[in-house]
Amino acid sequence: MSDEEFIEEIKAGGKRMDHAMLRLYKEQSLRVDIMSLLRKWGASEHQAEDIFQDGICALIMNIRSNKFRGDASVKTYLSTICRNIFYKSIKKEVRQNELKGNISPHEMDQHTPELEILDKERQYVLDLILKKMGKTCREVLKLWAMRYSMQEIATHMDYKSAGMARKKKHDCLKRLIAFSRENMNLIKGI
Amino acid sequence: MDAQQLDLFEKYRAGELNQTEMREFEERLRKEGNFADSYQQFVLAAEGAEYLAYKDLKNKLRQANTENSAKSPRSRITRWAIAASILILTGLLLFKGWQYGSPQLIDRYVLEPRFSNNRSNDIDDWTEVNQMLDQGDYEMVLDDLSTNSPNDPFSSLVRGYALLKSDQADEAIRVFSELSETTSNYQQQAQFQLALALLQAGETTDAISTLDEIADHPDHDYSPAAINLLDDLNSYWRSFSFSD
Repeated sequence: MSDEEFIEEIKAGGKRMDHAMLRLYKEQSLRVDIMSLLRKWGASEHQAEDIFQDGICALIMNIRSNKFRGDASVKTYLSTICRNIFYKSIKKEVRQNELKGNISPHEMDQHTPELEILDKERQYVLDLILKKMGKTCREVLKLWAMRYSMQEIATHMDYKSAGMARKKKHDCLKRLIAFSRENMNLIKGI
Repeated sequence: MDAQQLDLFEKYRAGELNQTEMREFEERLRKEGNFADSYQQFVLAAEGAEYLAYKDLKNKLRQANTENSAKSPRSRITRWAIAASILILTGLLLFKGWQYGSPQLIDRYVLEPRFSNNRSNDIDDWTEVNQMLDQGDYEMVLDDLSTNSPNDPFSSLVRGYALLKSDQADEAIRVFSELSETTSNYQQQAQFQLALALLQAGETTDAISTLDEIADHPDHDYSPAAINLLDDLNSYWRSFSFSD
């Protein structure tokens, strides 16, 4: 599958997106190359696998939100994401000067939006907040975050119209904002 | 925070505002504290929604990884190797256990009567009896001996052997007990065969006592055999035998 075809499948969403994502994940040469790099930088096999998965998730999210425009190849882009995630994961444990031998300062300074999602402490707080949301709201917001159109959300959620999906999305988002506001101190504390 | 404002926040965050709209938006962010706070709350909520999407994707990858691991040739080979090892080990244990089961020990240690130098006045042709024993016709041997009713020690020895070989342990015990209490040439052989008959009858303790008695007498013809059989009866492998 070419990069263009891959991006097209991811943007199509639904099962086509899932299929393309799993195909990329199972592509041996890509996996071997990225896992080797991560292992070379000092990641354990388990850690490398985790980062590789996180990297693919971030890639998918970025394609869906048009942050990835195909300027670099999917493989290069994914390698960069994985490198950034790895840096972030060890930043707290390893001194900067020990890292400089392996990763250039330019690369270390990169701060990409996808890394915010992957912060473990933030995930914990988000889990607490999201648990308060109903199942339907969680599903609607998930689809919205994946940049599904209102028509696609309506179809997926079995709503009568795109307008109804939009209203539901607004309601759920307001609830999430309200919950976030309640937990603002907790979030800021991270 | 109304729907219109949410849409505006969403468009700004997605980079979908034109230059003029973006400038106006950023101007408001700088000047209007409430607007900036609302936007910050929107961003937090949007990140929460993105986190939901991220978790969903990650779960799919984790599931694929688990399935992949289970299907991987390495995993399959490992599982087959473990299964094969268990089968081989189980087979080995069962085989060794089987080898040390009572029927197998009896077959291994049982003493066949020697016909060359023995004769009975009541039996005309021992060659025929010998052939029947060779062919495993133990019932025919017993019938033949019963018809002719010989009462000499050698005939008793042959009868006891045929009884033992045809799994008539109780009768074999009776015949060998009687013979082992005589002073005939076959007394020692009958005593050893008695131990085997007791073993066949499941009276292992009595069999061991009889063997101990034989083993304790170095001048007993079957002392070495008794010692070996006692070793086998005490063998670790016997614990894997299902035949007892």
